[in-house]
Amino acid sequence: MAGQIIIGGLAAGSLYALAALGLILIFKTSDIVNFAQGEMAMLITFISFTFLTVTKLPYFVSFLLSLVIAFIFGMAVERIFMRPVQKAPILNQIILTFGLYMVFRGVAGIIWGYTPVGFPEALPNKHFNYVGITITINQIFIFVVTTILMLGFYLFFKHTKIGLAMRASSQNIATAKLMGIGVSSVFTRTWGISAILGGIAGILIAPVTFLDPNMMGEVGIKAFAAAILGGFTSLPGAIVGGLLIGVFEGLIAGYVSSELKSVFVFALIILVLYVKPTGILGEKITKKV
Amino acid sequence: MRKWLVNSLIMIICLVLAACGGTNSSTTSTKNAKEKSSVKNSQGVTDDEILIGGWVPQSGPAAQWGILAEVYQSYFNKVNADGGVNGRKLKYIAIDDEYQPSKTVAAAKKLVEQEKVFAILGTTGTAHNKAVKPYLTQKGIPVVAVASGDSAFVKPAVKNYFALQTNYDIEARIFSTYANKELKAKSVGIFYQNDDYGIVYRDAAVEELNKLGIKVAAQESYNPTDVDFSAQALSMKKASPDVVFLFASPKPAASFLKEFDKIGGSAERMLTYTSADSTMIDLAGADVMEGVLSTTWVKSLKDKDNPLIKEYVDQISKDIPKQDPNSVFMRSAWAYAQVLVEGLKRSGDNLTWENFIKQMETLKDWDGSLAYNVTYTSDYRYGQTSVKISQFKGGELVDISDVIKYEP
Amino acid sequence: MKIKRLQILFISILLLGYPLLVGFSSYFIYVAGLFIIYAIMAMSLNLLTGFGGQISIGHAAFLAIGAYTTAILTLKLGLPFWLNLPLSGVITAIVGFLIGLPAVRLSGHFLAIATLAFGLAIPEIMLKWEGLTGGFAGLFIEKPSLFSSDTSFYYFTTVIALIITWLILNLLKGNFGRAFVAIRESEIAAEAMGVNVSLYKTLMFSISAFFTGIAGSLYAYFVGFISPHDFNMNISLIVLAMIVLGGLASITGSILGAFILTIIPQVADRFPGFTITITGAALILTILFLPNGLISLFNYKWKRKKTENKQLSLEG
Repeated sequence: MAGQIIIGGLAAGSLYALAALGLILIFKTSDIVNFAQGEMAMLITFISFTFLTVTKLPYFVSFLLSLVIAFIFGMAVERIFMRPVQKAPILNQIILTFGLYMVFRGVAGIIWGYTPVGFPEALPNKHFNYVGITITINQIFIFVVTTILMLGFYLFFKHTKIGLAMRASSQNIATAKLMGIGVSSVFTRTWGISAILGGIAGILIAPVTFLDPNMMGEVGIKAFAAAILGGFTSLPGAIVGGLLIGVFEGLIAGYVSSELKSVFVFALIILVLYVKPTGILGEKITKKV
Repeated sequence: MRKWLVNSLIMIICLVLAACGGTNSSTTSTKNAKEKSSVKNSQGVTDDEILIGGWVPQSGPAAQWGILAEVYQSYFNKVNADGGVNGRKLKYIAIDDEYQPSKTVAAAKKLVEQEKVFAILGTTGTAHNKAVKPYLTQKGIPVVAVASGDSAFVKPAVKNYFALQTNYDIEARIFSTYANKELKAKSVGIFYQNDDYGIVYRDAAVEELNKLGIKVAAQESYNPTDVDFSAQALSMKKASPDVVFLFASPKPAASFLKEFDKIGGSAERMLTYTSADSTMIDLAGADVMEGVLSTTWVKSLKDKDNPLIKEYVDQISKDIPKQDPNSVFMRSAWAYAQVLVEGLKRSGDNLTWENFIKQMETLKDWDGSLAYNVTYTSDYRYGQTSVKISQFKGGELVDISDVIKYEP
Repeated sequence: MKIKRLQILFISILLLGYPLLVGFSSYFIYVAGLFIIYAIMAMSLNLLTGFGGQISIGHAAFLAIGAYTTAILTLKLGLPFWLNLPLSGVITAIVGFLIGLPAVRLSGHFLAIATLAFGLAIPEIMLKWEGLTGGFAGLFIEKPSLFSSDTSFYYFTTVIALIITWLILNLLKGNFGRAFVAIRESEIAAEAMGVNVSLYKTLMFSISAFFTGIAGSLYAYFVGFISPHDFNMNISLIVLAMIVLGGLASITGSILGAFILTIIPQVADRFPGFTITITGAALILTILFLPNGLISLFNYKWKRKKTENKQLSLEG
């Protein structure tokens, strides 16, 4: 039983990690915690679903098309809403993204309704049995996609010019500008890319949580938890945090209490933060006087 | 200091205004009482209109029940197109309470005192309905078809409350009896939602199973917002009961059944009527749902020649084309509205709360709605306890028994 | 200038009282009562966040603890309400103190998420602790016999709110207030000036929790029914939104924000499905066009400088 629980936990954990990647990307570059990340993912999933069911496009085509829309959508959100508050206090930014969260959720409800619908899985629904442990192809697929995306962005940040620009912008906007980096366009593109990440997450998560305007509620919160646990500035941290939460929560549900699993998860987070205030893989923040 | 002055000013003016509001409210209530004694009809009734209201979450975690309000409106559209009730058109006001009891209290007060509706129809949420029950009972306004099967609204019978959907305790007993007699179960596992709704079911089922000498092999719970059910499915499989009862809302039930199926769990599965809907096929897939048993208290769309079914399908396809009319929730909502309108019809031109309640109590084994055998008396407010056993077969939910009437 | 300022304040007061003027029923009193309770909560959160610079996205949990304390003390122990009210505050303050301990080490987003975790965990614990809290079925609380009607309890709530406002304003004028602001501006500088940062941060949490606990107690009596549905994360975020919308580090701003965000859902509930969209849009527009909150509409030049200073980064 423990083996199966761990596999189940890893599967759930990779969903959290996947959803956390977009959050971290935005935070790393522009220092904004995007509460609307999950709802942006949900909107893009609905758009993909519309392509699938209304225009009857094949899965792969609607997937790609919705990611293109996601990129534009993400950039638009940054340009219209986030740009004006770039220099505002962090609370204003948090509340603005919270406002976006409400509007996106409400608008999705108005357009598509709240009745949950099934969403097709990326790969055919097959599963393996190995020494009494069952695992589905899609669970492996989600895990692989998350790891590839994480590694991809990790290397991208480390080794490319744009990555360097993004890192520089996150360090100090004024200095980055002096060094000739178009900070604004870096931010805009970051939001675009984050929306793509969100879209991928939403489309892969929807078969598990089903598609409705509330689909990212629980996953979104756990993604925050994963990001924080991992350190919020570290892409590998998202995976570590996500998987840790998934497995821990599974074990609590299996052996202690399924109702209190979230409570234990949050207790774990507070404990970790108490010991290491910047999360497991977080960089040390030096305070300016 | 200045701020302090300003604040106290605001507060004082608040107080004064509150005082005005307070005195006003008392004067109007006495005025109302006078009106009631001199004018024949209760509030919400004019010569050409009857006002009906209710709250339904249209945003927030339970927004999927928002569809109920659309169905009520659709039924009223039909009644109005046919000339209304004794010449009066029906007007329906839905308030979004966002599934928050404090807002439900506001909604109830608004409906009764501001909008002055005649009756309250099909309101959602067990906790939410409970929160306003003392207030609505004190006002005496008829509350028809509370969209909850909790016993709090029928046991003991309350003068102004008329339930309709199958009582949760009764369905738990139906499940237990069926598992015992038809499925010859020796042990039962229970998967339930950790809230007022799931726990009521669980308690009733455990009590009944104990009476029947059936072992309760597992009790697995989850929180309403959970998305991962692998641990529960595993524990359930490990306990290997003959029958699994699912007292869960659609999304968790579908996820659990998928997971249970995937890890090779095998048992007869019985799913509460509050989730046994065509959406389950969409969510969990026809393969997974094949053979799942449930009960239904509303008539099936299979019976196409039945004029009740025909008028339902026609009107819903016109008003809510986006939704599949086969939905059990929508058929239930239609039945709620039908029962209310029948009470209004029987009240004739004497539209007082007193008379409406009296007329509702004349319904006896009434079969003119999508529900079976609707009955009310002064101490029996279940509405109906008549269900058919149904089963998911080949991607459809079909009735597999005749109407069975259970005694509460 | 001052006269004009007063005029605008009078307009806002009129707006504030408008529903009560047109209201001939206890419905408007109920909504106004909710507004006052949220205003108390917003003021206490503003104390912590606006003045002290500590973000909390879990304040609904303090409201819940206050409300449940009152309900449990009333139902299980039969204590009278004049004892319940302060006790709810004290017990919530103790919890706030415990939460404040680990929070001292955190700042910015990490503190935000730690408080978010707290806010999410409390309702779940209450659910699980069924014997005490009634789980999802909730608890009914009767109003104290002295203030048994909505109107009289509304008066009572208003008086309590007045006292709390007075207390908070005095607190801010004194050493506490200066220490809070010093910590917000720069923890390191505050420490250097001899402010015991850890102690003050924990105290801030306790004080804010104390007033929120009182608000919770009033909430339990006023609504008459509590269940975990009432204290979810959205409530925490809405209250946070109230203070940002109204104006950070401003007591009148908190009141204004609480007013707006209590009224919007009541006005919007007749447009099914649009409630959260309208609330969200209001938040976005305010942040974009009035970054210092609605209160900045009422502040004049001589004050502006002060508010600008207050808008300095909260992370310090």
